[in-house]
Amino acid sequence: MSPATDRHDEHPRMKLSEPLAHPVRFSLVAAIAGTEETEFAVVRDHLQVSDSVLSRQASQLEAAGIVKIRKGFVGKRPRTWFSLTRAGRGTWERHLAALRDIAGGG
Amino acid sequence: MQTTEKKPVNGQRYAWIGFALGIACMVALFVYGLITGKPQLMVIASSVAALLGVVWASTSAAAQAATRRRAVTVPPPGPTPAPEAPPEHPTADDARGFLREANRLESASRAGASWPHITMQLGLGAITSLTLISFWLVGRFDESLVAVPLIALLIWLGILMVFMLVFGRSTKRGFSRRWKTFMAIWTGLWIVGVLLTTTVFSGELWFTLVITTAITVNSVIGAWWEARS
Repeated sequence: MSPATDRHDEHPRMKLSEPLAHPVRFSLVAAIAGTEETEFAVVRDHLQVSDSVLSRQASQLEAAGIVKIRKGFVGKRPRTWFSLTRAGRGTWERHLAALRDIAGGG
Repeated sequence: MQTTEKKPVNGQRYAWIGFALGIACMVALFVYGLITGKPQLMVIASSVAALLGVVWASTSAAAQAATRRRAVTVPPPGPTPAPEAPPEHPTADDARGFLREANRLESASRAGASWPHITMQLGLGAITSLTLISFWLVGRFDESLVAVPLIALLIWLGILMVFMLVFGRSTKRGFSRRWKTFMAIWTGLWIVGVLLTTTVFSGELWFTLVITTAITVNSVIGAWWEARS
C-alpha cells in the first residue's frame, strides 16, 4: 500500500479526540452528553472531583470548543451551567465511535 | 454492572402516609359536599386533592432521583473499567471500560434531570384547569368571589416556579424545544379559556370542561414526554 494511505485504513485510535483523552474531561462530557444543560454542582457530584479540578478541566474543554459554560444567578446565588456545543457533540460522537471500533477490534 | 442503592433516609419511605391521608380527607370532603349539595366544598376538595397528588408525584420523583444519584456502582470483576494505558493507544479492554463509564454517567445524569420542570408542567395543568372550573362556579353563584381562585392560582404558580428555578439543576436533551411546545399550547388554551368562559361561553359548563380537559391532556402528555425522554 502506498504511503498516501487510504484514509479508511487508518487505525480507529487516530479518530480519538485529544481533549477527551483526560479522564476527568472524558467523564465531564459523558455526564452532560445526555442533557441539554447541567449545573456545576450536579456534574461535580457525578464525577466525584473537587470544584477546582472540575473548573480547570471544563475551562480546557471550553477553550477547545467542546463545552459551553454559562454563568448566571438564581436569586443571589451564582450558578454555572455546562452544555455541549454543536461541534462538541459531534466530537463526542466521533470519539465514542472510535472507542467502539477499538473495542470491537479487540 | 451491580448497583447498590442506599435505602431512603430521613423518613422518605413514610412520606406517602401524609399525602395519602390528605387525599383521603379531600375525597371525604368531596363526598360530603356532594351529599349536602355544597359545590364550594367539592371545588375546594378536588383542587386540594389534585395539588396534593402533584406534590406527591414530584416529591416521589425527586426522592428517587436523589437515591439514584447516591447509588454506588460496583464494577464487575475482570478487566479494569478504569483504563491506565495512554489514551492515544487504548486497548480494546480500555475502550470497553471508557464506553461503560460513558454509559453509566450519561444514564445517571439523565435520571435526575428535569423533574422540577415535569412537576411544573403537571402543576400548571392542575391549577389552571381547576381555576377555570372555579371561574365557572363563581360565575354561577357569586361573581364577587372571583378573586379567591385567582389569588390561589397565583400563589401556587409562584410556588411551582420557585421550585423549578431553585431545584432545576439539569434538563434533558431537547428540553427547550419540548418546553416551548408545551408552553405555547398551554398559553393558547389558557387565553382562550379565560376569555371565552367569562364572555361568550359564560355559564356554559360544557365549554369549561372541554378547555380544562385540553389543558389536562396537554400537561399530562408534556410531562410524560419529558419524563420518557
